[in-house]
Amino acid sequence: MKLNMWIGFIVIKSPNKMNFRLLGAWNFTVLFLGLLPSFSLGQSLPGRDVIRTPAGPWGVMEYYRVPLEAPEEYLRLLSVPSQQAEWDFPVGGEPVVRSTMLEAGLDPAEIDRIVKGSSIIKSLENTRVFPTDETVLSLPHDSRMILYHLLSTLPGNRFQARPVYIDSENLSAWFAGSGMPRAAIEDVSILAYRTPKHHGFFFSDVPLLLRRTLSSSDEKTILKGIYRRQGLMVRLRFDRESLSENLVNYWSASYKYKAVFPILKSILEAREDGAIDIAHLLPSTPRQSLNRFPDPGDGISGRYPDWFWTCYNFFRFVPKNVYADSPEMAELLASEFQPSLPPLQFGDMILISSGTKIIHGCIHIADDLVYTKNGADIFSPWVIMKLSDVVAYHDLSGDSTLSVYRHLDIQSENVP
Amino acid sequence: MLTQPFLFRGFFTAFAFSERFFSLILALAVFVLGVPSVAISSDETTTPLSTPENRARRISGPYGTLEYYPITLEPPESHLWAALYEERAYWNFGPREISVIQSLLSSLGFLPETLALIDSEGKWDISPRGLELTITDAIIESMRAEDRSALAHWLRLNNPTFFAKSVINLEGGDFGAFESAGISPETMALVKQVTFRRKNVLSIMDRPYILRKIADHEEKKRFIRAALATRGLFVNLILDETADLDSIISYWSARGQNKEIESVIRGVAATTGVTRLDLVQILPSVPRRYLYGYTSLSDIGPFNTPDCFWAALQFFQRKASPRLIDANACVQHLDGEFQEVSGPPEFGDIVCMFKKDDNSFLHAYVHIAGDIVFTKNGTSFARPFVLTEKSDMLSVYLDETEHVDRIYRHKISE
Repeated sequence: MKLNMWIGFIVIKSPNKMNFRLLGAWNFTVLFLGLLPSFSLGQSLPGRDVIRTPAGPWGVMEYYRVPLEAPEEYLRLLSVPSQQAEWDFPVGGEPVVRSTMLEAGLDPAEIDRIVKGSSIIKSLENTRVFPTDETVLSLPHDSRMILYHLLSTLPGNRFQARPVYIDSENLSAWFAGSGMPRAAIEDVSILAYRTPKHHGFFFSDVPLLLRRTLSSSDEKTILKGIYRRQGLMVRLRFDRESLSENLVNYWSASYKYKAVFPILKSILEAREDGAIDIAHLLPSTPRQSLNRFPDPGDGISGRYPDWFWTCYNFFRFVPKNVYADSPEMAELLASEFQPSLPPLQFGDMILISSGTKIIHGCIHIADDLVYTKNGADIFSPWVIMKLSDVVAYHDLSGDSTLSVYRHLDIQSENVP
Repeated sequence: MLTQPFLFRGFFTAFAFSERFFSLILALAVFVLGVPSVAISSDETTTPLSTPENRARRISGPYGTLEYYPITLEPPESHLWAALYEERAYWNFGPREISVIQSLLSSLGFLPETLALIDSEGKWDISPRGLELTITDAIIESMRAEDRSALAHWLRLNNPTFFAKSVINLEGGDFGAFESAGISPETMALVKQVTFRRKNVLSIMDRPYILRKIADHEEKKRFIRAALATRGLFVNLILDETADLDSIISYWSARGQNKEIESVIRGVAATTGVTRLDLVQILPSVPRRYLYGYTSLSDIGPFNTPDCFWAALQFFQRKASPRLIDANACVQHLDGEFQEVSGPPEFGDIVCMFKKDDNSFLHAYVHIAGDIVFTKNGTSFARPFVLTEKSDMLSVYLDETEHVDRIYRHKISE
C-alpha cells in the first residue's frame, strides 16, 4: 500500500476505484481551500477550517474542529499494550479461527495467508492469534474491514471493539499539533479502514503503531495523539435582521437560569456582526462539561458519566446519577420524555439503536450538531459533534436507526 | 451494548428510522412545517436595539490580547420575585423607639417640611421586624438626594437586612441600563428624581414609589429589570499570528490548576479564519457553569445564598461545594487552602476587600486579567455571576466605606 500524499498532506488510502477518484478530488479541495481564509458553505472540510451551516430556525452557525487532549495524568493510567498485534478467537485453535473468519465472509485464500502469517496459541479460555507486522500491514482494506468487524464482536479485542474514529481523510490535519511522528501517521494511513456506512474511518491497530517508538516519551506522544479527541467549537452568528423572535425562542427553550435575549441584544449593541459561542446558550450542566474530560471526582460515586447520564441531565441543574443500564432508565424515559419526530428542538434526545439495542444517545443542539459523550471512560470528553459522525462512531455493524425523545415539561424554578 | 428496555420497543418500531433518512426528514420537516413550535419564553423582553457602535476594547499583557465589550444582563422572569413589585413604601428601623427615630431623622439633616410631613402623614407600626414608618408620596417627594443618602448610610450600618432589601445600587453608577431598556421618559424622570449618591455609588431606595406612579405593568417590569441590570463583559482571547501561545497557555493554566486548556488554545490558533476564542472555553468548571447565570435554588441553604465569597473560593473547583455556603467554612477554607501573596494578581487569584476601620470583610472577587474580574455581587437572586470590569464591580461597593485589598492564591499552585 502506498501513501496518497499531496504536498505534505497524508491522507488515508481508499481501496476501491470509485472512492479513489473521489478521494483525489477531495484532496484537491483540501489543498485549495486550505489557502483561502474565507468560509466554506455547508460542507465538512477535513482541515481546520470554519464551516457555516445553512440558516434554520436556530439562525446561522459556524463551527470548526478543535483537538482535545486528555490530561497527562490520565495517560499514566493506561496499560500500554505490547507492540505485537493480538486477535482473540473462541476456544478451539486454528480450525475455529478459520471457520469463524470464513463465516464472517473472508476469502479462503486470505484466511490461509493470515493463518500462515501468524502464531497461534491455544488455551482453555480462547485462541490467541498473533499476526506478524507484515500480515497486518498487507491486509487488503476490505478484508481488514470484515476481519476487524468480526473481532469487534468477539470478546478480548478491545481495540477493534472501540476503534479510534477518524472523520477525515486528511490525517495531517487530523493529527496536526499532536506531535505524532510522521512515520506513525503513515502507519495510520495504511491501517485505517472505512466504517460500515463509509462515513469516516476506524483505526484499531494501536499495538502495531507502537513499533514506531524508540523511547517511552515516543510512546507517550503516540498514545496522546491516538487518545486525542475532536470537538467542534460552535458559534451562533446573527445580526439585527436575523435576531428574530423565532431565533430567540429556539435558544430560549427550557430553562437556563439566564435570559437569553438581553445578552444577544447587548452583543448587537456593541457589534454590527453578532456572534456568540454556543456554550453560552447551553444549560449549566452541559456548559460546565463542554470540551472537558471527566474528572476523577466525576466517578466518586462508583461510575463515570455515560451517554444516558449526559442526555438525562442536559437540562438538570443538579445532575442525577442514572446511567444507560440503570434499572430506572426505562421508567425515566417513559415518565419524563415522549417519542417525537423532526423538526427537532434544542435539547431533544436522539437515541441510536442497532437492532433492538440502544447503543448510544446524544442531544440535539441545532442543524446536525449534537452534544455527546461517546463513552463512559475518562478518555471521552463531552463535545459537540455532527450527528453523522456520532452515528458513524457508534455504528459498528452498519445497521443503526435513530429515534427522538423530547422532554415533557421543563419547569422554571421561581425564587421565593 | 445495552439492551433496549422492553417498554420502548413499541416506540422504536413506530419511530425508529435510518440515519440516512433522518437528515432528509429533518430537512423536509423544517421546509414544510417551518419553525418548530416553541412556546414564547416569558423571560424575554423585546425592547428595541439601540444603534450599534463598536464598543470593543483591547488590552494586552502576559495573558495575551483580550478583546472585550460590555453586555447587559437582566434577571430571568423566575428571578423577579413578587416582593420586588411591592408598592408599599416604608422604612424599617429595627428594634427602636419612635422618639429615637424622630430625633435620628432630624439629626440626619432632613428638611423641616419633610419632618413635618412625616409627623402628619407617616404611619408608625411595630412589626415583628422592628419599627416601621410607612411613607406617602408627599414625604418622598419632599426629600432631597442628601436626605436619602444619609438615611441609606444609617440603614447600611444599623439595619443591613432592610438596607439590602430596599436599596438597589445601579451598576456602573449611571443610568445606562435604563436608557437601553426602553423605559418611557416619564419613568426615567421618576428614576432621576429619587436616585442618590453615596460617594461613587448611585442608588434607588424608592422603588415602591416609582412602581405606584407607573400604570402599565409591562413598564413596571422594564423598570425593575433595568434597575437590577448588571453589567458584564463578553471577552475573547485573540489568537492571531502574533500571539505568543506558550506564554498565553502558561498564564491561563494558572500554575497547573487549569491545564486542559492547552489543546483548545493551540487548536483554535491553528484554525484558518479564526482569531478569537471566547473566554468561556478556557474558564474552569465552576465559573463556566455559572457565568452570566443567576443563583439556583439548588445552591441555597436555609440561611444563606451564594455570594461573592462563595463564587470566588470555588473558582478552580471542579464542582461547587455546598459546604462553602456557610460563612465559617469559607473563612476556614481561605485560611487552610489559600495564602496571602504580594505583587500583581494572577489569573484565578482571589482579591478580598476588607473594611479599613474594623478589618471586616466587604467583598471578594477573582482576578481574571487586566481590569477584568469574575464576581457575584452580593447574595441577591437578581445579581448574576459575571465577568466584568473592576470599575463596574466597584461602582456598587465604593461608598463611604474605606477598604484595603488582599490577594490570596491557592497553596497548591505554589
